[in-house]
Amino acid sequence: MTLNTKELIRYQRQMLINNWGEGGQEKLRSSTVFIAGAGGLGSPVAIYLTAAGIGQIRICDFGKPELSNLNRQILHAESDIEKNKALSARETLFNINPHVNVVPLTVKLTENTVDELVGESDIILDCLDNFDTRHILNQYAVQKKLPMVHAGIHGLSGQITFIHSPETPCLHCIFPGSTPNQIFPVAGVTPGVIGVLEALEAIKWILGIGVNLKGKLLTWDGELMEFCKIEIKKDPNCPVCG
Amino acid sequence: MKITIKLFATLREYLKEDEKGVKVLDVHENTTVKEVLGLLKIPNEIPKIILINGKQKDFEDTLKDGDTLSVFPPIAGG
Repeated sequence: MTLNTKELIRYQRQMLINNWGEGGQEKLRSSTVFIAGAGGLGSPVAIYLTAAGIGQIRICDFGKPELSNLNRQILHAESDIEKNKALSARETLFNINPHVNVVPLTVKLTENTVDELVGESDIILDCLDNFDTRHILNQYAVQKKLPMVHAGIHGLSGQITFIHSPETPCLHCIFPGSTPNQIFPVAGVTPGVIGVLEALEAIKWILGIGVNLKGKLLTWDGELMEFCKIEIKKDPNCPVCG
Repeated sequence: MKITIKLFATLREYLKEDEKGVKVLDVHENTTVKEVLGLLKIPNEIPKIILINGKQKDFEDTLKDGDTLSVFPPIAGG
């Protein structure tokens, strides 16, 4: 189905980008993305993918926004504090772009629920806040050969990579094991910087334009304002993708 | 011999605040990455990406004079 008049106007400026056009916009509209987490990273990721005109956004979070989340979780307002984050996200995203079908998923992501939650998604966006759940998502992405954009943030720094097994290292190759779950320092702008890069990686992959961060980890140090792109290797003995 | 160590993100706390994650260390010949991390009291349990002069290396690899060792930790927040 071709784009209607309103869509042609809404997406006019991005369709001017080389190799995007109406064809690219139709690709975005026929795509489904899975966003794991509607927190700091999930907020900019979901907002920019919604504004860009993704067809279906499956956004998953079982938590409720807390007052201490609101410096960075810009999907949610103070009036959303008693709501589920995925449901709150749907309201915000609908107001930004009602053409996007936002599917709120309010259950916890586990080995038992991951298949149903990801559903028919074309790409996974890791916006989680812990490595235990990330490893579940990574294992699923490797199994299903789905691309997954991984990102993490702390303080004024962050990192991001594009995982697509078997072409690239998986998350377990890069960071096996876990880290303690604890309250971490973070500025609102940190997931802002890294989250928009995650959204961009997904858009580029769907459109087939540019170069993704395959086999590369891009790190950002906001204090020194330095980006650093490093090569990462597959672990030949990786229990997940090896 | 002298090597430069660059620590990123959460590993910064193993250096002084004003060092901004970068320090020149005087170490003996053939020092391994593991030994350098030990000198800085960085726990072995934290998984890390280790680069020597921009190339990915392992804990047991040795350093030579003038090398830059960069260490990236996992960042869990989201």
